[in-house]
Amino acid sequence: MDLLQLFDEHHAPLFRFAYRLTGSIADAEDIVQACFLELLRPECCYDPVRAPLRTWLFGIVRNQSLKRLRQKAAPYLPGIEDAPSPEHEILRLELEEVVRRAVLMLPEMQREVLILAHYEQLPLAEIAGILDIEVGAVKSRLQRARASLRETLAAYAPNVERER
Amino acid sequence: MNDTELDELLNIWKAPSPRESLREGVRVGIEAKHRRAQRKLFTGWRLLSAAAAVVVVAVMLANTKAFPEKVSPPPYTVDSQIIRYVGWSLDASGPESALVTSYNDAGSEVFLSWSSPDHPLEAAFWEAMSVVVGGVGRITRRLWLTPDQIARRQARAVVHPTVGQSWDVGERAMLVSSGCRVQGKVVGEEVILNYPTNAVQHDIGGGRVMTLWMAPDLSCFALRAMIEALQPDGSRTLVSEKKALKVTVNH
Repeated sequence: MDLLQLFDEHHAPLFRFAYRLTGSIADAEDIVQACFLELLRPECCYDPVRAPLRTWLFGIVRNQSLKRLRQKAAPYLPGIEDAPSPEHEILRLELEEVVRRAVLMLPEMQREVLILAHYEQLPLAEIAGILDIEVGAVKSRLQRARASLRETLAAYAPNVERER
Repeated sequence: MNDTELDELLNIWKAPSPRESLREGVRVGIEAKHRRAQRKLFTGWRLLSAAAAVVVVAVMLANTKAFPEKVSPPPYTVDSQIIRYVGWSLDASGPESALVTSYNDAGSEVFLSWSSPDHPLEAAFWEAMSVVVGGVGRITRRLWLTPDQIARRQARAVVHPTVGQSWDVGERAMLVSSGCRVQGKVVGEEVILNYPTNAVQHDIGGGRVMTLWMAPDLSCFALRAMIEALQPDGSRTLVSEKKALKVTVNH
């Protein structure tokens, strides 16, 4: 299959995953581009027998994202003032930023599992394949991530919002 | 907060869509990789292989164009055996024995094939080398010599008395018209394989003497060639010998 066809088929979830891991659009684009060009390298290690292409691509994006995060020491957390803020959207944007910060502040191992499971809706077995861990480990990381978020975002729960 | 509430909250964080420039960047990257891959085809050993292939093709073309007489069937061929005696070889390398098929074209010897039953690999290597070296020599002569100089060289008669050796034995036309006596000292006459020959001796330097038994009826082909080393006491020791085994006349 043509590489551009593969790109059209897979790039959107990969970009979202990279963006939610790194918190940066520019980084996410760089990572996704490098991920597809990796397929063209003569020494490219993709083996269709070992894993489906989507799993392999997510793995590459994940590794590249974590590499960038380590180089930057902390995920990019822009202030609310960085976003355009028409008045009627201020509240929604504020809440979005809170959620974004909460997810980005999760430990890496929990964050990647949460993004793949919640945002990309991938099966636990596929997540285990991407991260090269057991399904049980995926479950426990996901539970810890959700518990942590429940605590961080408790004040923004819908019922709490309504009570304000 | 229950699971549904948490999910709703998490869903507030929307990821943006990638920009169109991302696809363009990948497309450009693909093209660049293809270009680099094509360039890499002509680097390192691939470049050497390609150059070698070009040289071989050039040699083959040069052989075909410069020596069309090789294409037409020769009037006769002679199968000969060459033996080089260890310890007295003129060259340190090359097979010690070989079977060759050759003929004379207007006084000058042309090799058609040769082999070494005892050393087939070594013979094949030498044959390949002789083709390449001969071809390269022809190309360089065409580049560096004037047409007059090339014509003068082609007018000379050459004999191959042993493996890897060739000697100029005079001007071709004069050699043939003189009954093979244009150069050297005539030391006798002998009939070999039913062909009368004149034995002519040449001092080839280095204390060595070459004797050729050349047949006027075969355009002065040397049906026998002997190289001897002169000893301090005046005696001679055989260094190499080439003997005709069979003459095949092509009608």
